[in-house]
Amino acid sequence: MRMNKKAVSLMLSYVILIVIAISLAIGVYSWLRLYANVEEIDKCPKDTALIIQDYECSGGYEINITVKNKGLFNVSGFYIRGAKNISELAAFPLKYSEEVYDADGKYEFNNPLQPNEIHNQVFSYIDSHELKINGVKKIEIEPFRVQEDKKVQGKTKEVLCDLATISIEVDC
Amino acid sequence: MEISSEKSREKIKSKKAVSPVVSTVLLIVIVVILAIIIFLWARGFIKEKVEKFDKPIEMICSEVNFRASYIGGKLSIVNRGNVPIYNLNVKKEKPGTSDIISLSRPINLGAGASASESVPVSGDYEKIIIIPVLLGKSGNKNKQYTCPENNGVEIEL
Repeated sequence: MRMNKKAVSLMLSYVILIVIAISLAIGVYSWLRLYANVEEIDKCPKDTALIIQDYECSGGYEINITVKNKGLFNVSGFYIRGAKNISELAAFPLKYSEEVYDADGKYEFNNPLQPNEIHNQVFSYIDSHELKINGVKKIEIEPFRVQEDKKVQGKTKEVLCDLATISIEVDC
Repeated sequence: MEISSEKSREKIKSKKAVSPVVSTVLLIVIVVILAIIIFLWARGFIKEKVEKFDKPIEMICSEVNFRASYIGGKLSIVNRGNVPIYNLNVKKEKPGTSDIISLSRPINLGAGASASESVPVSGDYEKIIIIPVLLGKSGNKNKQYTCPENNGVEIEL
């Protein structure tokens, strides 16, 4: 019995099948390429710790800070911020030199601070109107490390250690 | 009967066709050309994805780490994480209604940086949610991306 059913020729069906397969493969690859990149953003090692061992209020809107590396890893520097009230967020950056402009409270050691090493530095809050009027009642430091960039060989990257952030009550 | 089978044999012999080698080559060439055309067309859609640090920007939002406080009409913010914050959206909420305002200019808060901005919140709103806005790349262009609300910081007024 002769069949009258129309159909796509064999050659054409192969072409269509292969094109669909390749297109899907390309599409899935492109989409998955982004999501499969599960490498985390560089993080600070867990046992990084910097403490404020001592402080001294100097005249002229300055405060002398002594920090100590209480952790197991070198620390490259820290961000220092002040607050006019102990319960408030420390959001006013302090600076270590008059020549430094808009440094966001960043202070970098000349050489990374080794574990158990101590460092002393004077910081000024002369640029903060609020701190000048009300005084500094809280100091917060957040250490950072300069580490190797995992993505670019030979390049270093500054990584903040949020979990190692500490604050102390002061009265300046 | 013999005459009809002879005729059909002649018919088969006279049909022209492409040789298997040529047909295989044609098949492969057609497939490759079609695949290239579809890839070039689809590339336009794929490139719309916004990326940051070579990842979809949605995944970076969970790495954003900041603290905020709101006192006397002033919003103070400290970026404690390693992801720069381009801008902020402030969502004001009270029962039954909410409103979102953006800062007048991008705050561009780098890692470790802090800033204060005047953000008047008039009306009896009960809380505000500070939502970070990141700057990513889509192709060669920079593009803003507002993180989901759960990546924001809630402040009771």
